[in-house]
Amino acid sequence: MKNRYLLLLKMQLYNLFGINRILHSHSKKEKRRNAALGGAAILIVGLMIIYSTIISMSLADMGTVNILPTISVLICSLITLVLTFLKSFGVLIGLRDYDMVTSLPVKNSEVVLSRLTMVYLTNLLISIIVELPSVVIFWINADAGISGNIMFLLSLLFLPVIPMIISLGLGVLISVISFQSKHKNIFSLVLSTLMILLIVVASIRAQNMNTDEILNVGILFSGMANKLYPPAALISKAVEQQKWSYFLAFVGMSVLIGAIFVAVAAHYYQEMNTAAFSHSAIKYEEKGLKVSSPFKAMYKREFNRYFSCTIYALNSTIGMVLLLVVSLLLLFISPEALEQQIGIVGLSQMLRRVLPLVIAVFITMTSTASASLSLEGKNRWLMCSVPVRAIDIFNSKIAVNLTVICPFALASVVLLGLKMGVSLIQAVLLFIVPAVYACFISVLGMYMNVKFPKYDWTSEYYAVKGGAISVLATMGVGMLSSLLPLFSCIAFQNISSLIMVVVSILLLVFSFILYGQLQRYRLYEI
Amino acid sequence: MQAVLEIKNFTKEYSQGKKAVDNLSLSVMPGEIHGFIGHNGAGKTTTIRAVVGVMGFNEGEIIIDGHSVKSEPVKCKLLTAYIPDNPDLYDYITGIQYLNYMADMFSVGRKQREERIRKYAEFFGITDSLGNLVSSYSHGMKQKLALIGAFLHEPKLLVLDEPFVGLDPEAAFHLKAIMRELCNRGSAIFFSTHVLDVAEKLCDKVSIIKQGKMIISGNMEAVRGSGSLEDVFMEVVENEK
Repeated sequence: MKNRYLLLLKMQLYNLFGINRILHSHSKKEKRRNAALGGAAILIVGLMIIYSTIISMSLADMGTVNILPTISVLICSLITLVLTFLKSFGVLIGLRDYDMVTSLPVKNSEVVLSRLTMVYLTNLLISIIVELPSVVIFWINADAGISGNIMFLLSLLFLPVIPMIISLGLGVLISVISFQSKHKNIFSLVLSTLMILLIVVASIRAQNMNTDEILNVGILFSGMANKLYPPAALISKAVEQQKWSYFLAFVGMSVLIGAIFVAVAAHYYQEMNTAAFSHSAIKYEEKGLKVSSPFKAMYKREFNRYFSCTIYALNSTIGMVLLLVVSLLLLFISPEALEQQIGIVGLSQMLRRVLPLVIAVFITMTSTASASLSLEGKNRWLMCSVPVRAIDIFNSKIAVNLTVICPFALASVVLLGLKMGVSLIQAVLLFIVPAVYACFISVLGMYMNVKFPKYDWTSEYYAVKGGAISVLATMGVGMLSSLLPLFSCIAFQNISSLIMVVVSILLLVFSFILYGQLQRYRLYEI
Repeated sequence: MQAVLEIKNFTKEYSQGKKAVDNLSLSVMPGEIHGFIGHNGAGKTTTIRAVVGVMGFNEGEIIIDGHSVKSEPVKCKLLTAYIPDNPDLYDYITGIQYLNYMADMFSVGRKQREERIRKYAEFFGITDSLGNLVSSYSHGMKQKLALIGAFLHEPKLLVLDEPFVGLDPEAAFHLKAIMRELCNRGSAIFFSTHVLDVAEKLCDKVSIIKQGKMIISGNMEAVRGSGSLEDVFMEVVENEK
């Protein structure tokens, strides 16, 4: 008899990165496209590993190789914590294949464990990218003996467990609390946003706890590890002192927390999903109906879709929320004080110059359009059968993206512009550059989703995150389009305005080209 | 003789105190085809989802071949096969991968699974498509694939929610034949349908449910009397208004 947990896991792995489609699709075009995407994904992972290696080597060159275990563990845990939280809503509750899987002769614990394993495997990839280069550099440069190095290497396997469980636990808790609310999606969205802000603020605060210790990087980081995340200290001690007892304590802690979570989640699994799928009927009372144009009707539907899915709204809005929070925080800190605190001379002047691009970085993190088509899923027949042009549907999705960006961007532009005391030219750029980026990221997201739609999802999570190519590609290209000019402006401050004008024109032209491409598509071709 | 399915005083209450199903009891004996009939939203799917163990419930007991759905869920599921009204199969796997997965889940031996897949796939005329991705299947083909997956372990209890929707006439004919064949071997079938003609011809017993409450239940001949099942359905539903 085969292990049913492994069977469940195998079925999920078939869908990872479209592996099974590559193997079994008869369409050569689809095979070529998937192979190219696979190649691109490997290239990106490779580049990220190189980047991580460079950072590790820099720390080794600075003579701080001994803090490598602590730093890599901390960074890795923090990334896992935030990324898992962003996807925690579609892992255990409300999955589309819930009925099918639960009616099979499997225990709830096996279902929960298989779902968690999938999340673990994606987090393990993060661990490998972040920590493996550190392990190698540490092995070469530090004197931690064979057992110290082996412990550091093995810690990679257990590192994702605790942050992953914390995030999933919080996500599940928020979902359960939200079930009681009438507007459960909005409630869940607000709670989740607050939770992410809490994580970000906590990590920022942790870095500022002992400003006197800044001179001693080693003390600062070990202090951070102890305060923020004690398991990191355990690994650090295990490697440093070559004591297996610390390492085993860390492993034991990870396994125990994981096991407790599986047991609790399995116990309430059916109950939580029954609540998630329950809809209490509200008696319809006839009242006058509003008449809208087809575009407005589609826009309203699209906007409702945005609020109907927590993971979608959370992922595509968090950048703008962070921008607003940063803008509000800066209201209480003078540019000069900031300059003094961070210790970079001329920072406030530089900030004034690059402010439009700083805002643009946050804007390029925001693309509702890049998942909007995929989220149609099995309901796309509706979209295909309505008597409107494909471009009208795309326009409604682009309009929602702009609606999400505009209020946050406008508020931040006004707040930051007033606070920083920008010149007239800077003020003009402060409005134009973010507006151009908003248009660009909206059209780019739509184009990417048309190019790489993902309709065969079992949870909205897979359309929004979980290897959704359109979302990743939009984020990647978008961030590149804002970070490269930002760094260029920092490097060449004298011509920063010129750089921004040129980049804006280029992005506008590029947006028009992409929009022109969108007009050529027919819905049944996508 | 022990009932294959026994529902005793089953009640499902949603939040705000609304009862989706209220104190429902019925039993399905070996060799019996039991039709479950009611309006949309009457509580049929809620009952079926509780029977197959995908939904918890507040009161009552559901027993499958002597095992409680509440305390022995996995044992019950091993004896059961379930096809929802709109089987949402994984689009990213091939038909044969799906069937093999189901056979693995129910621990069906290699020889038996090969024989049964061959037999039922030919019955439903989808043998040539088994190597294709499910995403390329029509609605009817997906329905057929789900049915084959359900028959692979020769379940003691077959639970079907609207099984005839989307099937072509030939497939519907074969499905009825397979249902009868399963019952002849001692299995029992509990299914919901809106197609009263089919229910009338196929079922040994029938239960009519309205707003979560059982209106009438019994042998087809006794329920139908001298009229048709449609007449009875309209009459009891109108009378209960």
